[in-house]
Amino acid sequence: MFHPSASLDLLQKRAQLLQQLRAFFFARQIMEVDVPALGQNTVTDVHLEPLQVLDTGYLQTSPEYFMKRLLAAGSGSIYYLGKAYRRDESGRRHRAEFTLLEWYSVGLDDRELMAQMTELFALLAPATDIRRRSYGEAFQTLLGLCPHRASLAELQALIAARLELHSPLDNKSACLDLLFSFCVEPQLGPGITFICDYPAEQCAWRAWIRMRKGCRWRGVSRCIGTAWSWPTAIGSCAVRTSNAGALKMIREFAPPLG
Amino acid sequence: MASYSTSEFRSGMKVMLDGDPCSIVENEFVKPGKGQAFNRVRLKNLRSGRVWERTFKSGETLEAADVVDREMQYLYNDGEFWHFMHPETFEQLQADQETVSDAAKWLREQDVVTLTLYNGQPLAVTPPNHVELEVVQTDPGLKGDTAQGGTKPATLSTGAVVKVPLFVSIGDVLRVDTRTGEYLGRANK
Repeated sequence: MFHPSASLDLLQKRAQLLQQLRAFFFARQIMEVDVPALGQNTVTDVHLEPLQVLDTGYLQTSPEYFMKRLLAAGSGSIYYLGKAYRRDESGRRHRAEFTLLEWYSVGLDDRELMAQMTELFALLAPATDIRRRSYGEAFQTLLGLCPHRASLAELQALIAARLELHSPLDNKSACLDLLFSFCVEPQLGPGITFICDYPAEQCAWRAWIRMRKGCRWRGVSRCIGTAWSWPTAIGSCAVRTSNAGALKMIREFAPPLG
Repeated sequence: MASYSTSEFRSGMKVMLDGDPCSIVENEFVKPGKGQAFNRVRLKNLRSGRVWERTFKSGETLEAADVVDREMQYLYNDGEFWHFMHPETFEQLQADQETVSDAAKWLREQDVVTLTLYNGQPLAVTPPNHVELEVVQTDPGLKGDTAQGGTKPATLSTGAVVKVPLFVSIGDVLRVDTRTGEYLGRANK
């Protein structure tokens, strides 16, 4: 007889969680979109590796492009709750296949979107402590260096003092990734910490934003949950809110994508 | 020699690091969203026994180490070297004090042990997890004493000293766990 590696109790909790997520978005008139997992094209992000399907295309690393296309076509607020795929990601918090929730709330800026996420977390995990810190403040407080002004050499020196690195990192963004993941994140404490106001180097949209002068831009924020663990069987769930502002911009300035 | 990428690192894998053969103890994958991925790897230096942690960018590679475990029969100690023989090819190898180290006290002539070879030369000797050895020295046994009583030291034929129950006497053959040095019981003869 087949024995699942997750207990039936855990599977039930997972089903309940998916149900709660859908109810949350339904109540806010945010439409579920079931975009393709298999597409002809894939991302150009440096650090995302797609899984290629023979003769067919790529399993999507996230529903981002399909969703942004819908947004540009006037869909209004939408969410996706389903599988995404990233090659070579395997670890305690990572799987090549994982369940991802991604949503876009039209008209909300990054602060408002964080407030919306707080509502969601409060619903799913009522007793959880939720707070907000800026990237710069957390980094400065815990590591004693301003991430916005620090030079590459200063970051490299800070890394050398704390970690044994196999080969040196030659760009600021990778240094920040390393220091934040290994030295800041573990010290953020229990509960959920929103990290906002990321340094410019950490922003995937920066080049694009710069190109469009005159748009009012409040900065891209990535929000991460920490020590807020989903039951193991749920797998990793990336909560991405980086593009609330970008979304506004798409609506106001950008032509439809693709 | 082949090389392994961080995504292939598994515990127990033998790799070369800074010129020394190492065994991977643990490999943790850390990736911040769309950022650079890293692997925090714990490695045991097979020469020094030291365990340490090193961080790799995901995708970096290490050369495989020519390290193999081989079952060999312990023959004898000539005062300086311990000699071992492959039971089928009769090939013989000698290992020095540094290599044999703590395993020496569990080695009984003709027992089969595991030799870890690096480039064909012994790097470490691992005795079987359980060995049966005779008591050559201990205080006299007390009649009527049971396993609930205290313990006393007993010297075994190979020189190892283990804690045993009071009823054990000279000539008894004991079963001992070599990893912990713990007495497991008297062997049935």
